[in-house]
Amino acid sequence: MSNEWGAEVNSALSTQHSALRVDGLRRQFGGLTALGGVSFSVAPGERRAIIGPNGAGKTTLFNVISGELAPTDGRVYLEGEDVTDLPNYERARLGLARTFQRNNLFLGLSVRENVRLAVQARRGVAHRIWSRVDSLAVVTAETDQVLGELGLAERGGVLVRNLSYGEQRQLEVAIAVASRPRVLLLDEPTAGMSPAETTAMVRLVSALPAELTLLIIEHDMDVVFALADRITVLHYGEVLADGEPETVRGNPRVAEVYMGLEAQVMSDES
Amino acid sequence: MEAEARLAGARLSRGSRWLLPAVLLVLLAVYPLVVPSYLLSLLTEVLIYGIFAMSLDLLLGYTGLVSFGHAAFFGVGAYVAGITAVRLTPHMGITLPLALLGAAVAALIIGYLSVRTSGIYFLMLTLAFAQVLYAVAFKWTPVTGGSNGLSGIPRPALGLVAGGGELADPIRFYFFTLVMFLLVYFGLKRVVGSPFGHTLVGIRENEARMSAIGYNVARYKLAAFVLAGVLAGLAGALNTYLNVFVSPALLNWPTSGQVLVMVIIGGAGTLIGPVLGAGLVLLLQNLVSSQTDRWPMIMGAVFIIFVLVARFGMVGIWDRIVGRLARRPGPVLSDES
Repeated sequence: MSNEWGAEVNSALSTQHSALRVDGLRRQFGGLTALGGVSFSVAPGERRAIIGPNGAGKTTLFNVISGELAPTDGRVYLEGEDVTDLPNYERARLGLARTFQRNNLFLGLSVRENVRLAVQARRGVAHRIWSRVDSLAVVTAETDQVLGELGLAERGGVLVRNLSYGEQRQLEVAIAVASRPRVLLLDEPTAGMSPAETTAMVRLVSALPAELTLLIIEHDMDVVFALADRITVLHYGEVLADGEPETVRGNPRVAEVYMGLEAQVMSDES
Repeated sequence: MEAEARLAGARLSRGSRWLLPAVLLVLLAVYPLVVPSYLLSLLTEVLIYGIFAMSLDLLLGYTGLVSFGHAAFFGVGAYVAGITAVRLTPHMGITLPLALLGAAVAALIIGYLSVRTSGIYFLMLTLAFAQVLYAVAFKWTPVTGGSNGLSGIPRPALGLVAGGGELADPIRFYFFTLVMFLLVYFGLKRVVGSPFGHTLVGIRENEARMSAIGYNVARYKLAAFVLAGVLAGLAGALNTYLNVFVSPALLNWPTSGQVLVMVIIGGAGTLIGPVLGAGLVLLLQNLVSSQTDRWPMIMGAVFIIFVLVARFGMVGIWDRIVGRLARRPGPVLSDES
């Protein structure tokens, strides 16, 4: 991975205590409480897994953190700064990036152009109206670098709609990584992937800079234990447990509401 | 041998890339000298509506914004050019910048109030604002001439010779329009190939993701809207200079509908498509309306046929003839195509 990126992340974080903190987040959808007062904080460089049964509010939590949804109540702090009232594009500029559970790509454009759009936004050149796209050497170089990092170097010229599902999933991460974020939210990066593709994705995520703060929603417990330093368990919109993987695994209530379910799912699948 | 042949092929294809535009330019230059005057004014009109249609295509084909009120900026440009010529001076150095400024201000206001909506709401809002301007032009008789239109507009002057009238000659005005057209065409070509142009295409493809990766989508849409409005205003002003008359019908919704038809028939998301569409529509209009009153019906039928069988318009048909794969409207961003 890019050393330059790592250094940037490092210098930006050296003075902060938490990379991301949420405080009493609540989100109502009509009568339904998707988030019922969620608080936790994530240290710089930490890799945090968010797990919980379907409907626990994981994706809603991501949507509120990234600014896609406004919370009914509560605050979101990015590196100590209150970003609750900022729109998602301004949070992105402050160094927050995310992927989506369902691929959210530019299907009619090439793979390279998908990544390039993110790079030109971060480089602050997207408004340039009189220079040719391919004349911006920095953007071109960084685009190629991201494509390489995410294993898409050979696929740059392909239209996204012609990619395999697994490759589209990789591109989903590539677009987020191309923003060179300091905090990255991954919403089920391995959803729908084959075991081989999942292994490749875990390798790609592991190779991200150690300084990068990572939050990952994941159902596959092997992936969770391979990647996470800490785990937060959500259940009906509330934090059920929060701790190191071994502690959470040993928590009887977690075993009851989640691991049991997981075991059940596993046995159903086999 | 093989390498040589390949080189020759490359040279040929590079040559042919310039051949077509060069031939077209020569034809455009010779045209006014060989055709009767009504065909000259027809082509002048095609160039003007070509500018108008290209400006709409920046919204429709590139940004994905379906505006049904683009007549507003054409009309504002036309009226400001006409009113300033009547009341101030026929000098184009004054009337043209004021027309562009007027269109820009109108686009800024209407755009600011519209770009946060999308789809059918955007379409209805732009339509409604254009109809408001139409009503103003229709009722404000002392300034706009009301339902009679604005007449008594002096010929545009460039201030090069005493008394002006440098563009009174239709051939000179044609060349003036041609220069304006080429400036807009090559200017827009540059814009759609820029980071800004690609940003607009990104918004067309997936607005939500653009926002998630840090784009203030509304601001980019507004910028595109104002640029498109200014260029439509330019077309409107040229239309006033050509006809020395402004009709309130220019602001009415059929004008917006007609330019939409031009863009779609020609091929949205390309620059040359809308120009071809403007040419086809105006040519048909002239040919058919001289024979029968059923012109709107025939135009409607042509439009239906294009929408049903040629989704990418005349440009799409051309691509199929030369054996290129049908492409999506917009700049070709894939290396493989």
